[in-house]
Amino acid sequence: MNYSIERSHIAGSLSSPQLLSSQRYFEVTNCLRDVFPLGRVQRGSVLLFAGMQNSGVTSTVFEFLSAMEIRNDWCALVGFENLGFLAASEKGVDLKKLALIPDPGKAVAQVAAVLLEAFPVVVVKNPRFISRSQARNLIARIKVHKSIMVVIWHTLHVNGGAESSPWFSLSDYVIEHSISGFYGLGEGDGFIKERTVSLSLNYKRSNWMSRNIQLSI
Amino acid sequence: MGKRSGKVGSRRSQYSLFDQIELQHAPRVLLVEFFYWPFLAFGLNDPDLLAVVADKGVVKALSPRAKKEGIVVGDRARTAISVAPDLMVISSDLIDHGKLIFRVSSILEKFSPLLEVFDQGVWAINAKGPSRYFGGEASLAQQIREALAEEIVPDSFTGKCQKTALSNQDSLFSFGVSIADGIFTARVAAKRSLIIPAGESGAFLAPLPVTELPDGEVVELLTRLGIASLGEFADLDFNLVMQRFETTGALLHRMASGLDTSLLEPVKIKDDFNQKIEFEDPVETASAVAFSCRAAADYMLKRLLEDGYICQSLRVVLLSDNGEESIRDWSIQDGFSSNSLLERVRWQLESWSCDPETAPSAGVKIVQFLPQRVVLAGTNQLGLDGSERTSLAKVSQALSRVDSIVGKGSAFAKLKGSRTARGSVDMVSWQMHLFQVEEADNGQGGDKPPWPGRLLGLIPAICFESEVRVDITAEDGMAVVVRPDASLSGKPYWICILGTGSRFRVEKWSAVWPMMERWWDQSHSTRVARMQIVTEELGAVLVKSNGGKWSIEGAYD
Repeated sequence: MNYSIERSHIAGSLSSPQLLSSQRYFEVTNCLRDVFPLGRVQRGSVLLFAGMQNSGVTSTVFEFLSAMEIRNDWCALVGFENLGFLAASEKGVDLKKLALIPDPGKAVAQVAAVLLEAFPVVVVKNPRFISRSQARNLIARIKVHKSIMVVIWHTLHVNGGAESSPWFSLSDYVIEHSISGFYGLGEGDGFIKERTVSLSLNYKRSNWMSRNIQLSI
Repeated sequence: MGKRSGKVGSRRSQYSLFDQIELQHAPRVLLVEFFYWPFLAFGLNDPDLLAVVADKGVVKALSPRAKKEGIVVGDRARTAISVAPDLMVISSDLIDHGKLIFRVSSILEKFSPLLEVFDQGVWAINAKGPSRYFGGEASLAQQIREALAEEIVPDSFTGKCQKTALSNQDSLFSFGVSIADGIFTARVAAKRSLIIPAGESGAFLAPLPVTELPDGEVVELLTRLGIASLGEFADLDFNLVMQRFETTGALLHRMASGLDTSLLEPVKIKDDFNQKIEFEDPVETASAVAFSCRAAADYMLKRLLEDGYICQSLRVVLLSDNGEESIRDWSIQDGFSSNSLLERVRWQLESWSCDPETAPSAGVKIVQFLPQRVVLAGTNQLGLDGSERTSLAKVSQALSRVDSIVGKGSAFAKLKGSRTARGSVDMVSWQMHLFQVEEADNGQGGDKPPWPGRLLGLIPAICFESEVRVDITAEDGMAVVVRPDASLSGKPYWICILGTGSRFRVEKWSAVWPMMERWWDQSHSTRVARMQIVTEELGAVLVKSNGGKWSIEGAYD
């Protein structure tokens, strides 16, 4: 059998050598590919998408989910009101496989825990009712089930808002959004044809090395 | 045996020697497939029948005449009736497969005691042993063909020769018998009723079109890449295919190379999943046995799921009080649920006790469930019919648990074409959605019809469910309104969110595009106009003017 089995030679690595690469990583296939190290996201990690209300966080998450869609995976979205489904579908998110839990109230942690067992990707928006110990439980569960949890965190400040989130220190990837630009319209003519977002990625495994990227999405 | 060694063909295979050796030890698959199974199972025997089987209003199977009428699988049943008014539509849940499965199985059991029953009219036998006993593979296949034709084709079409002939033509009774190396090759060969000598699967498959492969998406892509035949696909570098299509592609590549030996081979799993139910007093009726097995079935499936497995193939062993035994393997592509498992137990028991030759002389004493083949839950295991096995069971389980925590229904969004950002979505409860996933997939995916006046350019990622009223004013404080000719009465300078007192400086704004909503309904039709506004603090928002009042419809987050 010459299946390409990725053997991990790193001493102390927890990953089992019997796993295929698709069982250890999600390849990111679209424009977000450049954002992540080696163009992939390790399964069993937490991603924090942080930024202000208008900095393009939701769009980037849609973009991220549509990269998942290629794997034909199910996603669950927790705490989503006011979501633009048309936008999601235009970005390539498969709505047929996108389960929505509108308002979990204070039971966010329980709901996310249940979902993480079945769904490979669970997105939680502004989870303010998760205590630190609950968060640690969730992370343990994520590692076991090799799922991915995406946390959307809307900050109040333009720069450096992500640290205010309790999830900042718990996440493996922190994607911070700063100001974004809109192009194609002027004073009463045209309409938005293009928007750019500025991202900076911090990756826990590489000692919080950060990289800045500007994307047009 | 000499024939087998080194006969992997004129085609150079890129698989290692180990693969070839593995192939030698792989079972020879004898596959029987009934092409019009649901109609036979429904008890129809008119070869000229114009009928379809429909599941939730979507056509799933066609009778030979329906095929000639131009109906295709995936049509709506209603449309099909409009094509052929005297069409008979059979609902798929009315079909009782058990009886015919029993009849066919009891015939095939005369040839080999260990058969694997797949759903929907497919049987598989490991032909290695029986073929020696019955005088070679060709003779075995021929004998099976004759025995089946004798049983399946009703007596009104008399004459043994005729019966076999009738089963060979494209009629309601037609079925294929094939022998080949892997189950995929056997399935392809069954359509042509061929016997593929050992090791020649690759050569047999090479000239056939890639559409024989079960994965529709990959096939479409391959066709667009200019790869038309299975041989060309098999010639691609395995590692590259693996990179591009992952495990699905790897599986397909092995199939196309004629090296698919994955099915029919027992996967070694721990024995402690096996279940044994012993009754104190022998039980006589099938439904009583099935009822008492429920707890054990539930427990076994739950244990498997906890370990991340879904059971695809299960051996059911029934032991009577006097020591008689009935063994049968059952397979389901989607994995067993306890209901479908117990249904199989009932079928097996009924068939066992109905047949006077084998009927046990006493009631059932022991029932055993032995999982034969399991797949990792959540991996993309291709089904026999090519459907991707999704972990629907897991998803629905999780969602029902979430519902019990949150107390209100989780849902899926269903897009309807429309011109607003928000009004174009229907929320469908997850139960409804999961039941109808297939239907939606088969229908036209007309998500984006060319609605006139629909949103231009980017679509807001946030759409407010309730109206957010705002005022838009010019620099001098005068309200900006939309004139009938879709121009603005002034230059927007401030945008104020009513009720909060906060106001933001408008930097850029787009052209105004007007639209009539519900123009077909005089009393409810409204004229609205939309515009995009960019401010520094709010970012970009989509505002709507309705009767002179502005509101924020969505935000470009």
